Amino acid sequence: MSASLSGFRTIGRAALIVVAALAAGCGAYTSYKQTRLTPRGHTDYLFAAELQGASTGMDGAPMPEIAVGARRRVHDRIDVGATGTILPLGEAITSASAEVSGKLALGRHGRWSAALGTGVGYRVTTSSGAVFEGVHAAVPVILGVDLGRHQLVLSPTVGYERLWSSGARPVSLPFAGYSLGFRWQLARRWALLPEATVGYTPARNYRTDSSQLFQVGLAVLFTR
Amino acid sequence: MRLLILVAALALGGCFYDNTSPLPADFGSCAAPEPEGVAPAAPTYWRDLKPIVDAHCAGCHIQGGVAPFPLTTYRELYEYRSKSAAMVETRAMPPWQPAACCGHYRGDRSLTADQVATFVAWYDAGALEGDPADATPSEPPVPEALPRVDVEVRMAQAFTPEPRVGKDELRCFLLPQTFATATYITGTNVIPSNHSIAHHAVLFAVPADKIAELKARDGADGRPGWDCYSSTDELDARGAVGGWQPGDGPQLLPDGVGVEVKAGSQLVLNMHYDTGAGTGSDQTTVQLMTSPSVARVSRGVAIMNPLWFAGDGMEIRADDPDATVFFAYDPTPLFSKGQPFTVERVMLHMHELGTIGRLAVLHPDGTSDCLLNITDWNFHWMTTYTLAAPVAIQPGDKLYLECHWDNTAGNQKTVDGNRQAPRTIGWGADEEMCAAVVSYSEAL
Ligand code: HEC
Repeated sequence: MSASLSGFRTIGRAALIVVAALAAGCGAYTSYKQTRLTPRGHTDYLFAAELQGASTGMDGAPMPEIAVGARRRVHDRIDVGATGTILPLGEAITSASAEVSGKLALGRHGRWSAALGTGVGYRVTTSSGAVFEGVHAAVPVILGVDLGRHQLVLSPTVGYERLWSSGARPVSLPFAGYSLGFRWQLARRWALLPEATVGYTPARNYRTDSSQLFQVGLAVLFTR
Repeated sequence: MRLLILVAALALGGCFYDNTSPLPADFGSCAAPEPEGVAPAAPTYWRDLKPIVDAHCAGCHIQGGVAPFPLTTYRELYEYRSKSAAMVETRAMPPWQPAACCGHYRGDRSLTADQVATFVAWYDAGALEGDPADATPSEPPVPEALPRVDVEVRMAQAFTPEPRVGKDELRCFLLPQTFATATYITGTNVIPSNHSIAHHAVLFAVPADKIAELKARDGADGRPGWDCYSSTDELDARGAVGGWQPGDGPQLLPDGVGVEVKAGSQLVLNMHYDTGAGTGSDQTTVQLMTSPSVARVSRGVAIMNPLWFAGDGMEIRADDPDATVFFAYDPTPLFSKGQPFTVERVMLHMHELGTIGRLAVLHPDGTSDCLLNITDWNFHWMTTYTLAAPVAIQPGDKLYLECHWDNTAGNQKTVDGNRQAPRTIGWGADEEMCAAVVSYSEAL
């Protein structure tokens, strides 16, 4: 052995990449949930800034991202949308994802309402010439309570993600979590949607037998 | 419909996913077949064998050395002649893992084809002693030493290894040596007092803010030091400054290169003891050559796929005769601000099930440089190799690591006399690992 082992200090940096790779985590999946459907004949545009990642309980690296999305009503009780996210930090790390999602309004009882979401997506992360990819599916149950024009949202989510990187075996990440969000109706066409999500996956990482996933974000919703 | 898309995506795998190794088929192979070795006629111990054995065996096969028996006299060699010839012919001894025709390393222990042929011919011809007068006159060997010893420090107490399982114990010790000011280590000499149990050692400089935590661990189980079998914690963020393995003498960094030690740091010695090889206690001494300033500072780059330690990303199934993983990436954006650097030393790490380990530099045009090619991995002879000629890495090149394991019944560890049954494993201290570290130096 010799001083070369000092390179192991860089395991920390490698761990950052894994966190980034895992960060395809729960956050991107059908984010900024609320039970209201896009008004008929209109489009909801979404612009968001978010931080998301995976954590070992001892350490974790939040990955900042920006997201854009659009939604349309396609049925009395269904709207569908597409969302893209990107983190462009050049060769060190670049990540992008795309997701299509649908939402089915389940019902309303006074101030209380419920919807069922579903989304499937793809993410690619490149770090210094290494490529990590993942596909995911998520099913959030969305529960809302109207507070005047605004809405408070609680949303338990289950999902599954599969990650690939050449030379490694595919990694399966079943996950479950919930998010707490708010639809703050600023004006007729404008709303702010803060949302925080925590999730859990039984997949181990280099330190612990399971991993936590997290996401916090703030979206601006514009209806046209 | 959406479900269908999902199923299709899962079935296809990633768009960029390719599980075939990018190494050329002739990786590490010799341009021309190695010429047959030539032995002198009627070789004798005094004339032909003694120079080989003194230079290539006696460093370990000496009274008090790491090997179980000495090979310092004709009688001793004669007693082990058949086994020795067999070990030499199969190149199991002297221990040297890198396959030929990949790279050249300092301290290469391997024998030339002529030396192997001489050894085998000597055995085949009856292992004759010959005439002492034929011996090439040689100085009695002097112990190698650092050109200058600036720091000398010893384990505070002798330690007697008592492994919990099996024969190996990995133990860490705080050495009574702190550095008041920032220092560069330019040479190390680790001297175990009991070579028969010392298997290898890694020396760390631990920053001031971590010392209290380690002091709390020290002696907590009633024995000197603390258990550090899964020492990635220690290896994390703290950095090794030197080490020792059987057969090592003093280690000097390339001229003008030093390993940085921050002010307030304290030395920690991570010892691997093998009680299968000997008994008793050990109290290792560490000598350092230091310098207040250097022209270049040594840095390390780790190679491993982060997905290996996520979920089943490095699953090695029970009974798989050749589980393989690999990883390639360009280290320059992350480690050298996009600048080229030259690899000076390489280290590859697997555990007991490893069979093949490869390290290379892949160039964008499809060609590659071989850094290390081990085709018959032996955990017990893991070490760091210093390249005789440093290899340059340009931005756009990739560092490549490949590991193979044999997880069949025949290749399992023996613990307390029982061969373990194959089990499906992944990344872990008592499972497997695949990691490499390459070192380079950077102008200060
Ligand atoms: C770097 C240290 C080292 C060097 C150099 C070395 N040996 Fe060994 N040798 C060992 C150790 C340690 C063992 C005990 C088994 C083991 O751990 O592999 C051993 C074991 C052996 C054995 C017994 C093998 C068995 O299966 O019982 C023979 C024979 C042998 N060595 C011959 C040689 C000869 C001949 C040379 C020189 C050409 C040599 N060794 C050079 C360290 C060394």
